[in-house]
Amino acid sequence: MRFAVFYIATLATFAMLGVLIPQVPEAMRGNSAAIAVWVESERGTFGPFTETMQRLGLFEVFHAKWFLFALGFLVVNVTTCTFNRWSPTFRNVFRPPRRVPDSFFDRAHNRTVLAPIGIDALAPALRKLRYGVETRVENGTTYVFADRHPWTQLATFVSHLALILFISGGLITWFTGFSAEIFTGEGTTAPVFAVSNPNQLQVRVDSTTGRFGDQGNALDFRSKLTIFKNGREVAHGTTTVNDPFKYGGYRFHQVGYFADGAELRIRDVATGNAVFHETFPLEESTAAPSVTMTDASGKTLLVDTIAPTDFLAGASGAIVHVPGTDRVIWVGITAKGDKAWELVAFDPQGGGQSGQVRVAEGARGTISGIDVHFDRVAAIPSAVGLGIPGGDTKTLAQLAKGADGADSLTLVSSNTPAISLAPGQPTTVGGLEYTFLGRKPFAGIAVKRDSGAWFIWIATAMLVGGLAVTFYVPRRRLWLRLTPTATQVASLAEKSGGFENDMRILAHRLGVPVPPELQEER
Amino acid sequence: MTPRNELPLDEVSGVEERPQNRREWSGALRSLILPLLLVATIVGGLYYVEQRRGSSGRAADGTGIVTLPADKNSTGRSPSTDIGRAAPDFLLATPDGGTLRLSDLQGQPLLVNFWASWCTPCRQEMPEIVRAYDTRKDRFTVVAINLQENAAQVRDFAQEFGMMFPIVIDSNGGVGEAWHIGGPVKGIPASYFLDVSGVVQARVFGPMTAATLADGLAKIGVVE
Repeated sequence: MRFAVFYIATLATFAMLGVLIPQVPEAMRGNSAAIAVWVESERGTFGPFTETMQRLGLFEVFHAKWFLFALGFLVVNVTTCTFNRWSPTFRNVFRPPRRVPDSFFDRAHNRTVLAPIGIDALAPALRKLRYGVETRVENGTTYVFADRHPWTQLATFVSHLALILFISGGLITWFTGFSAEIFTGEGTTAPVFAVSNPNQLQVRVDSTTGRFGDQGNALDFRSKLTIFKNGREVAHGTTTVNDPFKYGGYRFHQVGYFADGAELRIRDVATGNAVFHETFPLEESTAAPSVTMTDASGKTLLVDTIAPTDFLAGASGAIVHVPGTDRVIWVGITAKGDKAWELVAFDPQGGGQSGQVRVAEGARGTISGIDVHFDRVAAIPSAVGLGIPGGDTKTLAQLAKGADGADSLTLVSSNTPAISLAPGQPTTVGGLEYTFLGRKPFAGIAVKRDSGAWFIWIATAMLVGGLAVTFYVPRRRLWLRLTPTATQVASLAEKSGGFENDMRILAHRLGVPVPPELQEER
Repeated sequence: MTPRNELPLDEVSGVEERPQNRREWSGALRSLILPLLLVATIVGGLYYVEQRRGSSGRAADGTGIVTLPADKNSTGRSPSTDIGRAAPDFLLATPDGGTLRLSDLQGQPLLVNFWASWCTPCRQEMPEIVRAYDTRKDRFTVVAINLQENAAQVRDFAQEFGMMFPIVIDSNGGVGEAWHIGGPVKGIPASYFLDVSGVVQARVFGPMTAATLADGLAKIGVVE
């Protein structure tokens, strides 16, 4: 017993180390280069002890071989202990000593003496208390063996087995469990495992949607997935946040949704070969003015968010051809202080003060006879540095909605004119044909495999059931000796006070006095 | 026969107050050695399963790594993807249903490139490889090894990017595993430059630019 306490305390200490000491992030596991970088970042905390701690596995306690060995040894110990006690306990439950020596009635831990009772009255009273009753008569003395719920002694084995299953489940999860996250665009495929895994799975997001409430709160994400194994399509189904798609022991949970992605294809016109074909997320944002332009008669000429293509000192904007007129106006915004924005409009053909205007957000101004209302500052989804051919390394891609509500992808580079692309309409610039194939939302899919989960669930049920039976199902074994002068009762040692209580109930039902030592204190 | 409700005489005995405390077994053998043997068996079994899981055998269709014929190994050492060693030979299926064996291509400089359509850096470097091949295809060839995708996906990608060189599919990832693609970080794209004898002269892990591609080709005698 002392060894068991020491051993479990040691294991708990090891586990505490794993909680207190920073552990290698799960995503880095198996990547020695990434782990080396991570460990280096911990050197500031642990100084000269860092390398020794790494060698001892203290940065990966729950994956360290010594920890797993210790857990495994605990399993074996519990197993050995359980089997060790199985035989005597089994005998005690199913082959109990039904007749005890007379001396036992004088030395049993729990014993009492009631007034003389006949077996005809005693047996039904015991049965009403849920005892099984067996009797025998020897030399004029009646011996009674009464046993209630003897099988509950076996519940302790159920609890032991639950403990073994808990640890086994953890070990199985460690050896065969898997967890990864995939972030991929609609219509694209991503691998589940690192490259060249013999059980490689690939996930294609056929479609993905997100449903949001009035306040922008997410209500539901849903994706249709196709799963490929080693190049062959093996499953097809739908996943949601709360209802994962399952295949081959893996669960595919939708854990994220991102609406602002774009698919762009660029071909080399000379060869016809694609030189770029990507579906990419636009995870950043660019500030852009939403404006409404009207003419002198009040007729609305333009309602649009102007995606900036020119980034001047302190201002960003673009040239706008005002519909229904021959006017061209540069419209942009500039920061005014820390929190406010100001619309800047400039008419290259205008002159003097009438050719430029500055307007605060929500206000209006007039430029060259056109009324410009600065509706608000919009955030346009954007991305920088996608390696788009034809541009520079910092090409900016912006996904905005045009005046007609249609999506528009604008590519801005420092060395080439800005390219504005409408969905499905190829545009050729500098020998390259650019085609914006449309807005493509992205889905975040978590792939998990937890083979030990069933063990844990079963173990939990067994542990709860075992403990409930042990603590709440009353087990008792009585031996009684009925003589003409007294009824002697003996029972096994019990830590609870159940014996006294049972005797009081029995005496009450049989109409005999409760012995003084069993009377309740008032 | 004993009446049902009468105690049999032979069961008159003493009572064990706490029978569950009594141990059935004792001694070092049963208390220590047997549990240790059980632990060793379990750990050994799990280790065996883990080893099997990581092995890179042949695919179901018989493709994968094959023995490099002795007369095609000029180094006299076992094949490896280390610089200066004969590259491991393989037999892989093409997207059109045929097969291709690497050693059959000996006699010309080779660029062996591992890629997949889902791999963004692979897509980014592929136009450079296509361009280099299109301009110098009489002096070297490219063997593009797709990792574990289906033939239709591979054909579509090849057509879109204009890949006119041999393409094969590593259906179970075994060749990629044997070639240690990506080195310690195990990633794609990964490129190996083999000279006319099939000996590895250069490796590039990660996407190639026009410059790194030209450097690699120069090491196998293909210069502009």
